[in-house]
Amino acid sequence: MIGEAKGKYVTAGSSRAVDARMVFSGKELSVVDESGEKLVTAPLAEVKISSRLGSVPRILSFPDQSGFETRENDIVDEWLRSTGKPRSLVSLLEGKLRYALVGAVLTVLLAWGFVSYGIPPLAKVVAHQLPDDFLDSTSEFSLEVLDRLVLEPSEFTEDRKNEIGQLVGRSFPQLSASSYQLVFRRGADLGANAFALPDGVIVFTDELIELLESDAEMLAVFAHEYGHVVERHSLRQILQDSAITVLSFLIIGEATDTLQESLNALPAVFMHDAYSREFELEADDYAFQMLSEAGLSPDSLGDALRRLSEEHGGDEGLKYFSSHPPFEDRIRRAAEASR
Amino acid sequence: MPAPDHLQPKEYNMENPEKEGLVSRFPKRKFFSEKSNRPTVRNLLFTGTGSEFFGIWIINLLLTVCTFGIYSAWAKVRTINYFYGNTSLDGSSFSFVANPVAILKGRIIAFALFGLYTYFQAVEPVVSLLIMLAVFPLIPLLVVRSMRFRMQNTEYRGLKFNFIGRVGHAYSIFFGGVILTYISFGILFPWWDCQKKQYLLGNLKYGSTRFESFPRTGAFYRCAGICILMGFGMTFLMILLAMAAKPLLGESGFIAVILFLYLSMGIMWAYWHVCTTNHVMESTNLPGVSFGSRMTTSGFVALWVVNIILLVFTLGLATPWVMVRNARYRVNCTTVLAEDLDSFIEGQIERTSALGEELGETIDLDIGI
Repeated sequence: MIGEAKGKYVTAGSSRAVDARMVFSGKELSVVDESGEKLVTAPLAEVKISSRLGSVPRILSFPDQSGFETRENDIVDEWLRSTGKPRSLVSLLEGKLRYALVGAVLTVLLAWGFVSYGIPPLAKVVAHQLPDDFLDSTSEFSLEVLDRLVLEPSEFTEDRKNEIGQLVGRSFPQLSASSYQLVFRRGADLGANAFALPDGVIVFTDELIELLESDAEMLAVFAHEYGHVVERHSLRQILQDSAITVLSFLIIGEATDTLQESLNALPAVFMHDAYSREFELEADDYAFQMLSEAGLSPDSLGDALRRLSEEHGGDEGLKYFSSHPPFEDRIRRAAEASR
Repeated sequence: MPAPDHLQPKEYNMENPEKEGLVSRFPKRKFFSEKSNRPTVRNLLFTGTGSEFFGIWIINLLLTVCTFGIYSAWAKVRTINYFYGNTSLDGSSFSFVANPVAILKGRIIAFALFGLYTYFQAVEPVVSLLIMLAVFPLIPLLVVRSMRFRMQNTEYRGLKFNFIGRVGHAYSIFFGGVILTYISFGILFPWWDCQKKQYLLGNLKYGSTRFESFPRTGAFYRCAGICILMGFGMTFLMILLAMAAKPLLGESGFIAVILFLYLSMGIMWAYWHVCTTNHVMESTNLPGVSFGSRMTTSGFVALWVVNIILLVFTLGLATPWVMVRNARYRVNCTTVLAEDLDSFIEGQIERTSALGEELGETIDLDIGI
């Protein structure tokens, strides 16, 4: 039979290893020591052979618990093939560089496709399946924290607040009053700003209302924030961020030890902002729709954004590290939507 | 049953009892006098390559994604086997013989727990805290089971390793030690770390033979002392750097200082790791076999910095090379000095499930040997 494999023979139950060679008769495997004496013989079918893994030595375990270790993987594979046991598909794929490269390209494409086109729609479906009050307790908690750390009580009179509330109710009669709750605060360090919490609380800062010059602009900002609530963006953000973290651990988790573990969080930090920018655009689109239906021009959102960009001094920092898309892009989209 | 005579620990009749000295006195090549009782340096080699492992890693990843994670258990066994199989001592390699199904079961339970934890973190943070409180007391138990699973599935020359540390002992070390460390404001930390290493290594068995590990607490305090001195030095340097950088670089000088802070913390951590690991390795032995470890802080920091650069600039695709670099560094820094590797015999083993190992990984357990 074809060739013989050099290696080490290990006796049963002890760590004694001797140089030996293995021969195959076509049915039986035998290990022969350097003086030509037969050490063990067994039918191939009764020998447990470890699966091929690159150039890792094969370990063949004989029924009497003794073992034979050899680096001559190709010869062992040849013997196995001659008895009708082809190499496993996995080890073939692993062993061929061109397959590995195809695998690499496929994996990168799959990962990229999954991150850009798989995770967002999946998160959307899951988010809408979850109960409405899913994030309510977290929302209350977030507002409490914000109140304690940044926000101050609104300086507006109750009349002014009611007036704004009635304006919103009148302009968007299709919204049920329980689906949102307007809340007023002084922004302090946050300045002119508005944000939505997942339970439907929409916070306007005094500074924002003072900055905006028409009712239409205020309604436009409201519509944008309401879009965040209806589209369940907070929940989807949480779901998408966790999916990225799991994916990141899958890919580089094995290579990072204690010292480099912070690297595992890097993809989630990156994608967090990318996803957040998507959500902003989605909320803008939602606002355009709402404004058109209420007989207002989508461009009023553009006006509001223009004032905000002047107030906050335009865009700062790098495009890929921002949670919001550039103001110019959003203003241009508003102009296009109003056409 | 007492071990046979030839497995009893032997006194080295060397002039210098320091094992470190003993290691460096022997040239790094193979001796053929296997029958003599003079300890000789055995070849410890790592033969894996990044390009070969890349093929295995990428197929693992692809199949794991395509099977929604189920293949990950098989992937794990193949990965460990690649590194074990490419580590050879005196011509024989190590192997990992775990059943992937056992690992899969552990992973499913761990994943379910992690899922529940994340779910409740969003909905009802109190419940997620309760889950955490329920898992936390199990940590020492998980450490023991994880060590047992890993060791019982590791083979060298047909003999299995084992871990025989008692669970009660793990509780006293992991919980008692933490409490004492906190009460003493960290002064007892080096002592605690020493106890931990001694527990993890001194309870290992190869076949029927037990490892002995006697790291000295004093050596850990010496490492800690130098670490603290380095900390003072770095802080002083940083203040100088900050004063120099402010007029020169303005705002971006701040970033330079942060980078320096990160680097200096890395260097201190590396020193601690290298200093204690070298000592622990050198104070651990199997009867008739002793170990040497010659890691250096500069080597370790260089390894670490290059790894981070590789990972960041290839968006993680360099992972296989990073893993191979780590393994090769570790193996190249370790020496094994043995009188005889042929006379170890089989021991009794009771099997352990993979649950401990998987849960341990999920809750980010750092056993750190």
